[in-house]
Amino acid sequence: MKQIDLKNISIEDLAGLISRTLRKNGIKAVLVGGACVTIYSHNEYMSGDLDYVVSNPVKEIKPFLEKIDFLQEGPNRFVNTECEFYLEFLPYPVSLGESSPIENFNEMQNQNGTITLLSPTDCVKDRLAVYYH
Amino acid sequence: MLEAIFGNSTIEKVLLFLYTYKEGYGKQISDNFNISLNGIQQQLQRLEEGGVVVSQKKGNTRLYVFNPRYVFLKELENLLGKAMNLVSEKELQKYYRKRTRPRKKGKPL
Repeated sequence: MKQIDLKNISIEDLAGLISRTLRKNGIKAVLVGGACVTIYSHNEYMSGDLDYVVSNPVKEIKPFLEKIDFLQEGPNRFVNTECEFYLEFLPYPVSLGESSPIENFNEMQNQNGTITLLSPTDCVKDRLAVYYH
Repeated sequence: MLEAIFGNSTIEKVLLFLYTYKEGYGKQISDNFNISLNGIQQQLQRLEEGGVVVSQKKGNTRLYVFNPRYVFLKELENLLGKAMNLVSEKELQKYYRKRTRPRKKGKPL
């Protein structure tokens, strides 16, 4: 596998890398938050982090992230000293703070992997929920 | 009041603090209730691990807010709102009525 340049990686490529890493280890991961906006807006809006909702506890995904040089910094946060983006992991289910969890997602493929992420509509709802709360 | 559900009284205080003031950091919550910072940080970490709160670094402090994506957020806020209605006036004044920003200049007393 070719070496990935984490210093200059785009959010979309990093999302592909993280999604592939987790998926191949049996972990369901859905990208939520500002990183989805970055992807849908083709970098018109730039997020500083990638928020994932994951099916397994952080302690179970930690070894897989360490293999790609992301180290745990806080309870749910992983960083790489070279990479400008940090990663946050939230427990399932995917929700916008409403009673019914979201179950339908989009999938996007890039050179690093397949990203499961919020649909554009849910992405907007997610940003509004964060803004208004 | 809710400690039987949440497991201890510190976490109840942390949640009621965030419900009242909308955000907070460890030292602020610790000073507000006069509880050890370590105890508060443990509970904030527990809540963050569970996805109930999220945090963001602002300068040298880590600021905590409720996670707007938490699936039980509405229910939790309803529960905390009800609990706040049962807090005594003395406790309200002592812990939950503190000014969080400077008084507006020239505002009549």
